[in-house]
Amino acid sequence: MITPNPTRFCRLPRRMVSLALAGTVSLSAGASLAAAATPKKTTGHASAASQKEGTVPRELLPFIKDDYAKALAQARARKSPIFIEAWAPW
Amino acid sequence: MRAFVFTDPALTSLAGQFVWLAIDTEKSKNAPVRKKFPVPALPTFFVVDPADESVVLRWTGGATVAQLRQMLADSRLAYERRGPEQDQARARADRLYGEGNYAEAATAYREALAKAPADWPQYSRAIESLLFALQQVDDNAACARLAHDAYPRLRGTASAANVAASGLSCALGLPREDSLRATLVEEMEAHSREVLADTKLVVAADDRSGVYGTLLDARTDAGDTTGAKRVAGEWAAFLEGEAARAKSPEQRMVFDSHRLAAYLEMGEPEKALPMLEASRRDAPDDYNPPARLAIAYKAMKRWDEALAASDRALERVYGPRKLQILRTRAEIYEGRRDPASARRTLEEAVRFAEALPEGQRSEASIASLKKKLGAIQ
Repeated sequence: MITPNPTRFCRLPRRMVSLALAGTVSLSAGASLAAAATPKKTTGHASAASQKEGTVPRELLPFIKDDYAKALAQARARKSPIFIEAWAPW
Repeated sequence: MRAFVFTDPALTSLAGQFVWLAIDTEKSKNAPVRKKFPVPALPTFFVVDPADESVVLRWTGGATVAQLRQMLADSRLAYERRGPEQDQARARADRLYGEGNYAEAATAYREALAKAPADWPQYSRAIESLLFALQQVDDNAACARLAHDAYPRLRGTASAANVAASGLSCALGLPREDSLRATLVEEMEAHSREVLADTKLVVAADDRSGVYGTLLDARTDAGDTTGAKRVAGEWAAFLEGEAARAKSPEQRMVFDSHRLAAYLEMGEPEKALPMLEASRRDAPDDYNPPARLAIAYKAMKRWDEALAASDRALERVYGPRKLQILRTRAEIYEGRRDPASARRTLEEAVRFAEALPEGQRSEASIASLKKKLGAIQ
C-alpha cells in the first residue's frame, strides 16, 4: 500500500483502487497511460533496431531528477514556477 | 506521461516557462519532498510558487497533451495572480485542493463555477477537480449529482470519461436504499458506455481504462457475473490494442499492469505471461515484470514459479513498493500451505514499513500488514 490515502486512488474509480492496492495496477512509472488513446501510426512492438533509428519518442522537457533544492534555487533565480512530477516506477 | 505525453513536441514551447522537476517518490531521499507536497495518488503533478513554496495547482492522474497545456496555462495565470474574477476564485480553489483541504476546495470550486460565464475555458478542469474533492470527502451524493449535471456539457470532450466513471463510482457508493441510486447508476453506466463506444474521442488511456474498471464494478454490483467477464474481456482487448501501437518497449510496458488486472478479472491470468516475460527481457533491471509475474503465477497456483519471480522482484525493488511484493509473497506461501514462511515474510514487511522515513511511512499500511499477520492460521 503505497499511497498516503489508500481509500481513494487517484482519479480512478473503486475497481482500480482495489487493483492498485492489490499490486496489479500502476498509474505511474511515467506510467500514466495518458494520450495513448490518440491514434498514431501503428508500429507494433518496437525493436532494438527501431530504437536506434530514432523512432522512439524522447522526453523533451529539461527535467531535473530528484533534486528539489536545485529546482527551487533555479526557480527563484529565474522567477519561474516549478512543475513537479511525482511518480513511481510501478 | 513520460512514455507518451512528455515526449510530445507540442510541449517544447513551454520548456522555458517552468523549472521542471521529476521526483521518484519511492526513493528515500525524496521523502521530505513527499511530506511537503502530499501525494494522494500517482502520478500527481504540482505547480509550485518558489517564493513561498505554496502549491499553485495540483493535478492527479494522467492527462492528454491538450489537458496538460491547459493546466499549465491556468497555473501561469494563477502564479501571476492574473485573470478575471472566476479565474481568481478557481486559483483559490486550486490552492486549497493542492493543500489537500478538499471540503473548502469544493466550496471554492462551486463559487468559481457560479461566477463563470457559459463558455468558461476552465470549466472541465474545475468539474474534474470538484469531483475528485467530493470523492475525497466521501460525498457520493454530491459527486453523482454533479456528474449528472455536468456530463451533457462535457460529452465528447477529453473530460467525459473521467466524469462518467467518477459519477458511476459515486453512484455505486450511494446506500442501496437511496431512491436515486438505481437511476444514477443506470444513467452513468450509459454515459460510460457512450464514452467507450466513441473510439475517436481523444481521452487519456488511463481514463478510458478506468471507465472499463468502473463498468466492471457496476456489473459486479448488479450480480451480473457474465456481464462483468464480458467487460473484462473488452477491457483487455482495448489495452492489447493500445500496447500493439506502442513504439518502444517502455511504451508497451505502460499497459502491463492494467492488462494483468484485466486478465485476472477474466479469470485467465496465463494470458499475462507472454507479455510479462517480454517485459522482463526488455527491462532486466526493472522489478515490475517479475513482481507482476509473481501475481500471475500465484493466481495460477504455480507456487514455485511465483516464488522464483518474487525472488527476482525482491532483488531489484527499492522503496515502499517492497511491501506489496512481500505481501504477495506471503500470499504465495499461504497458497503453498506454509504459514510459518508467510508469517516470517509479513514480519519482515512490518519491520520494513516501520523503518520507512516520514513521508513514505504509512500507518494505514502498517496496520493492514499487522492485521494480515494476525489472520494467518
